[in-house]
Amino acid sequence: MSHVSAIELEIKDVDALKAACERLGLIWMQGKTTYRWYGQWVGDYPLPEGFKVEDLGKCTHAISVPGASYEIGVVTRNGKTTLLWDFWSSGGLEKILGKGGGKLKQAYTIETAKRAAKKAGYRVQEKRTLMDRFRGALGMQQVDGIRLTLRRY
Amino acid sequence: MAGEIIIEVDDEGTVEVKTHGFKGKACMKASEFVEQALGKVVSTKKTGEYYAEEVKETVRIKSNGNS
Repeated sequence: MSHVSAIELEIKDVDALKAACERLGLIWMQGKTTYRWYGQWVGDYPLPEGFKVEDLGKCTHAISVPGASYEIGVVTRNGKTTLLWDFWSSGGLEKILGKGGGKLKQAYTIETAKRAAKKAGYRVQEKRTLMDRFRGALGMQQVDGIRLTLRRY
Repeated sequence: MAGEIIIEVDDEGTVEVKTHGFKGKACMKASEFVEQALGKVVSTKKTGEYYAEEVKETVRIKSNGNS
């Protein structure tokens, strides 16, 4: 089955995305123009916005996720970078990266914030933390969060 | 006064930004660069101390863009 969708993330800094991959043990494949997915559009989900069926499987760079058979496509078009993935369970991506690619979003956000903070002249301290979140049928949950504390030198 | 900015990101990429130790409205300015780097702000919440000299501010940002 194919369920290709865009991971909801505004990528402004590709270097931060590479650092996020490194943080999670993912492999950045510079210039790899295809990513592994089911390979055929089944049409049971809407196409990612701005993409046609023939665009699927093509990318600017790819990200390999150890333990998953499918890959993530990094597509840069008109100055905008989009992440495409087939989240169908047999591809293994969602199991490793969480619903909606949450762990990759978290890692990218932390790497971007760290870079912006350092540029703005802050000293950054990083710590793991538990955060209270409402998760649908599961109710309130304590989830893994990352906390950055920014202070001036 | 030494200001401090705390950024917390959960496992779905949702961000909370808190500032404290900045005088008056300087707190809004202080965290602006974080919001610019990360994307759009979904809600801003000021604590009861907003009008006091020491200001705390909480901003939630959802990483979002493409759909």
